[in-house]
Amino acid sequence: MGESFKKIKSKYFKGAIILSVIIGVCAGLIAVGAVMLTLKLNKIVINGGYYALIAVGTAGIVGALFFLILRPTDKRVAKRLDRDYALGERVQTMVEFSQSFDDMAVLQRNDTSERLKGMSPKKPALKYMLLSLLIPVMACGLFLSGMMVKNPEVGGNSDIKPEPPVEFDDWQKVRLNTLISNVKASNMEETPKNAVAVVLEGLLTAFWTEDGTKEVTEQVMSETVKAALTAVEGITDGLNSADDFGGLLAPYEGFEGYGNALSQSTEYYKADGTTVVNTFDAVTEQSLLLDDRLAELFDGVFKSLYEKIDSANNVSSAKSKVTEFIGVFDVAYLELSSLDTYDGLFNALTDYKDELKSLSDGMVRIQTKPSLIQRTDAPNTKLISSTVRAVWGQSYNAMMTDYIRYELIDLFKITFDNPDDPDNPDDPGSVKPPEEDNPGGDGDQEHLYGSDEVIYYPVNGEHVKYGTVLGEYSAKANELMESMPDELKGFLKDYFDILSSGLKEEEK
Amino acid sequence: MDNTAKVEKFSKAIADIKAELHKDVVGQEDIIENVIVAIIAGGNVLLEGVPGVGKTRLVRSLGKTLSLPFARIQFTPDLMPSDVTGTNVMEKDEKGKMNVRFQRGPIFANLVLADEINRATPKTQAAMLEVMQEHKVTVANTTYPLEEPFFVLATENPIEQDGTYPLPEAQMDRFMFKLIMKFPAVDELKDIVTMTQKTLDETATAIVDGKTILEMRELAKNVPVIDDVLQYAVNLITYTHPELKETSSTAKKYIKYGASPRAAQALITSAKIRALMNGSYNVSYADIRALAYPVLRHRIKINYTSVNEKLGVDDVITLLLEETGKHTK
Repeated sequence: MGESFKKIKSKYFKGAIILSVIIGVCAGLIAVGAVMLTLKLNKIVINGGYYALIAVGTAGIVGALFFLILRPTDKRVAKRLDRDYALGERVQTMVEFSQSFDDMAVLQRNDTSERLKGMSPKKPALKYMLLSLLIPVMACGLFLSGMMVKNPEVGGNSDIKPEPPVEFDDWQKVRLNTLISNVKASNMEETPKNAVAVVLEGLLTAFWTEDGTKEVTEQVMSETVKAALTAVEGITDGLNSADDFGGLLAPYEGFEGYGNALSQSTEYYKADGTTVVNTFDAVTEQSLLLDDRLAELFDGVFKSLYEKIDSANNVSSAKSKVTEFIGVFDVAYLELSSLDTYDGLFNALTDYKDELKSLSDGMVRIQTKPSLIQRTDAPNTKLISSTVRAVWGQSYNAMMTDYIRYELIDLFKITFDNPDDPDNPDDPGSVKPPEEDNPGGDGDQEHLYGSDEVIYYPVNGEHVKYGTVLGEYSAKANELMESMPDELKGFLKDYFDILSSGLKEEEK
Repeated sequence: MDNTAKVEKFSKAIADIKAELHKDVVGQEDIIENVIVAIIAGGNVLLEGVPGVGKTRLVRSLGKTLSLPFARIQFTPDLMPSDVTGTNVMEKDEKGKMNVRFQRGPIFANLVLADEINRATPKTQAAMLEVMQEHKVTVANTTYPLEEPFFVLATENPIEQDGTYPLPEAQMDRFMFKLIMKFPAVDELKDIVTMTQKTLDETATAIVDGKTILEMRELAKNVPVIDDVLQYAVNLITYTHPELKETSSTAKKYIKYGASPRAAQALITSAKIRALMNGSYNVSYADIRALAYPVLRHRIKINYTSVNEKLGVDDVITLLLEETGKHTK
């Protein structure tokens, strides 16, 4: 095909490579610039490596495609030469008939080769040269625009200003201390009383230091208090067996009255329509009335049983009623046993079971209905008195919970999603610990504070170094945990987990 | 002689022919060039022009230049086919015996000027056109071949249309080219007058002979045509047919009937010769475009829309060329 043609084609080839590289680079810059601008304006941050990947990938693909589409083949070069130099399709003919040995084809090739001698690829028209300058300029412009736009702030929307810390008042601290004291002075059983006190003391150390208050945001404060409330309710609810027993016994014949009374017993202090107790004095006052109220609740719970016995025609028929009653309780007791609880109520019911058993063993010696009624009445009456004693504590716990709840809500001005129902705070399971915006900071995993940091020590009302009391706190907590039912352990653990994560967030 | 020498001889011959013809014919470069192309290609030419523009003079001069016998046939309505082809005549020999002898008609020349062919009856036209196609005459079952190269230049008088028999399209197709001889420009007319004051006879001399023309014809057949150019020529012819699916918008709008496949053959054959004439060893798009007019103007029939828009057949051909160029490249 002639050396001249090959030389020209080689020049076109080099030109095509250079152009492909330029176009590829421009495409890469445009792609990166466009992506960068879009992400930055939408405040999305990605690793710089991805930008490099986009640039290189786009440049490579576009450049390669460009070269593949426009690579200078013999035919394309021939067309271009014929067009640029007005050769009248001579070069194209030369290329197409390059393999022909016809005389005329040979003549044509030789003639064309002569004409091609000394020719070079023509420079493109001015408009194309200007266009080829414009595209790189636009690409660089777009890329630089993307570079110049500031990165959004890492970890958050920079439009949102950081929440200021809550400003605690001294009276809040005083009130909390008073609450803790009242809890300790209350008639709650030792185990739940100490557990609740630990929870409340945890709030104290969460928000106050020796010098003043910790920097805690509204959100963290709210969630910490809610977690404490949940822990307190968990502790008292965990000890509320009356509701469980009542629910199990109520369906059984003869135990309807007793079971329903049990279910109502822990909140029977509201029976007169009073609102939830919101002061310690109110708790004390209501507790004094509790005995009578519970006695009233359980009065006549076995009335239906007595009526059945009394309505029997004879002693034998009456005995069979009692036997049935005992049999029913045997079945019910099996279900009660599945609760696996060792509180006073369970003990009362266990005693009742034993007495009923002895009663059934001694049935042969009962001759009259009054005698029969007397025999059943005694264990029933004993059960009621034992029950009242047992549920008294649970009712008292419920009142203390109400009091603590109202006190904390009022003290820290906590709001719930359902403000119309303050008795139903948020599900503690939905309370999430504050998100960590700076995951890089670890903090101390085992201690909330440094051992030299001074905290308020409510035991003696003084400020001491945390390290000196930490051991005591830990021992106390462990002791409580040992004696606590498993359900309570879970609540406490969750509470302290939330507390520590929220405080660590504030420290950061 | 190798091909290089042949091509050089070809080019020189063409140049000499042109120069010689210009001694007798003033201007009309396109006409002269196309007539030479047609002769070398073995085609015939339909020449249209008003009286006195030099049609007869051109053919006479051509005959002298090419050393080819020339004949002129003036077509009239009473001209018979035998007047063109010749006929058998009875002749008494020396012994008094009657013999039949074929008296050759004026068609038995190498260059024939069929003047005002549209004045002859269709029968006579047909006889003429058959000879043009076959290059032989058959009379009384005897065939008489015509000597090559055989070339007919037929004329049509565009002015006098009364009493004429326009050639049908099918017959027009047998002419390779239709050329329009225009009235000379002022300067050319001045030269014509000056020249013919000296002598009315043609002064051209012989340059080549018939054998050379045939050699040139053979040589031109080998000129290469690239596929793209061939496709361009084929597309051009296809686009003259409004009834085809793949046709041009120009044809749909302005053309009633399109060109036959002979047009494509004529286009390529003549393009090869034109290329050689211009010193090129290959056919180019420019050759096709230049020859599109003489090849197509008598082969396509424009419709009323083009007449209404005052578009002549050449205007329509121009539109066709533009549209073909866009679709082919």
